[in-house]
Amino acid sequence: MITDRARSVLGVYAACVCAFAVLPVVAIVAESFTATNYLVFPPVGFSTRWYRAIFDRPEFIQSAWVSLVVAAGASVASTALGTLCAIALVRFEFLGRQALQSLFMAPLSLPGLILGLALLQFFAVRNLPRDLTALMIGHVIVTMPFAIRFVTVALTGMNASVELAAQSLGADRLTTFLKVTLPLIQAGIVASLVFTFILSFDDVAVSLFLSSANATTLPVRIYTYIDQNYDPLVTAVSALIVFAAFLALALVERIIGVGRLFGLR
Amino acid sequence: MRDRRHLVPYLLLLPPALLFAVFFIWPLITLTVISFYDYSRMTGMVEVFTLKNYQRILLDEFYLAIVGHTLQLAATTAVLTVVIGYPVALYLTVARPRARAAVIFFILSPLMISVIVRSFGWVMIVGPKGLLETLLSAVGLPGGNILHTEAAVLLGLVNVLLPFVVLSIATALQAIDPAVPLAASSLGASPWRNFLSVTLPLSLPGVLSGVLIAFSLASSTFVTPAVLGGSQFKVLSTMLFQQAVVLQNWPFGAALAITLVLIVLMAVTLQFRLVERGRYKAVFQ
Repeated sequence: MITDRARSVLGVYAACVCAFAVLPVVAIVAESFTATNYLVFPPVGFSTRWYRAIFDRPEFIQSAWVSLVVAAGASVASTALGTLCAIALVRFEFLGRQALQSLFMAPLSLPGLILGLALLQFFAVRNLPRDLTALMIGHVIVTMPFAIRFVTVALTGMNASVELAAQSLGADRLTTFLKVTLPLIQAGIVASLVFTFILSFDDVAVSLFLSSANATTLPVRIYTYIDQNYDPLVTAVSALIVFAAFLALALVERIIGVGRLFGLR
Repeated sequence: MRDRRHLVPYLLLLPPALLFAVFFIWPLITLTVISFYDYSRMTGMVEVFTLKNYQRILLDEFYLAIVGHTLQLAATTAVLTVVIGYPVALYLTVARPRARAAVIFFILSPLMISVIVRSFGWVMIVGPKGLLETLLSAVGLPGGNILHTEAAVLLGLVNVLLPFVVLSIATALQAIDPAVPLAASSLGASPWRNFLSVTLPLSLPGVLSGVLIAFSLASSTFVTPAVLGGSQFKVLSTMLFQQAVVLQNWPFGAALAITLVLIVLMAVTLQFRLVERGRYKAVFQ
């Protein structure tokens, strides 16, 4: 249906677009090794000075910890709550199912910026602190639709009659879930943990509003730094994030594959 | 396992529903209420009902221009991203397995990296002493520093939104029954004819959904316009941040936020109505 020539032309074009897609990431990693005091591309010389310079800026290290703790907490909470939702929505028929499903999916359509501002005002009006918990709550809300989706896909993909079999053999609902369902949806749960962790770690929109002097996430720290400074320090911090993302990516690729993670067969 | 009027699903849904009631619905109601409050620099926020914030957005030419700019930037980004992304999605349907896996990897893997990093990466390319300036000066041409221009923001937005658009179109192309184009070619349609009268029309829902996803994301993204557009670049998202966080004018910031929500909801509703009747339908069946 397609000639070899047409396929090659499309292939060359796709390769160009791929280059465009990764260009900024490649640029930032290359730039992080520059020996100059200023940003220049292509980078001049080779040095790891900007990586060493990170250690003179404890705020970046501190923010990295904040981001890791928030992402860990948010991904676990989001996946646990998302699993509850997925089981209820997939395995049961009940009044208000459609409405609740729409509610849990709503954060997908609401810009993170708006939720961030709404939560900021909500916390401030009620004199609640903006701390790690506040950040985690915001991140759980924005990541839960994805957690629900991953677990739902796993639940619909497994053979539900094995649950019936377990119950007919005398297992109660909880035992059935722990011994039969959970092992079968494990891959979906792991995918959800990894993906919600990454989403939380990368988030800027919500964190921008919920970060405070003593709890600022790494992406927000980067944003405030480049708002006031113009030097290669942030490229080194960003490059470290890129390396970490590659590790996560390798993990995802091993578990389910990047394409399938986003619903491509 | 399908029970009717049973308590179990409600018990399962109680914790997440409580979380959403308190930290999602309630804050959004608070935001809406605050958008009708009064504010002055002397007194701060005053809890009296006023339409002033919305009047300011709709009647003041300065703010109306910002709404217009937001819509125009989002629309340009959406169309550009779809035009650039369509052939890539098409290639995914005809590529050999290894090439296909490579393209999927390169297009989707940037999604794993924070948008702040990807936006800042463009500064190395379009900023002062950046790649573009270096290349142009190598052939003796001036210019190349386009940081803090509309073009820089467009480049950044297209780059950030490309994965979403390619995904949306690729999903639609995947859903086409391979027998249909096969039938067309067995009836003598040339590859071009086949593409134009079979594949393209059948993939239009994906194209439309890609346009609307890109539009709603582009209209509400803050980081890319802030980093690549600079402080003088005015769209609703950057304006909202400035008013609510920098100037501490919460009521006006909230009103700008509600305006942005309405724009995004318009795009999302259109997508539901015209395209998919719910993006999540497939997942839940």
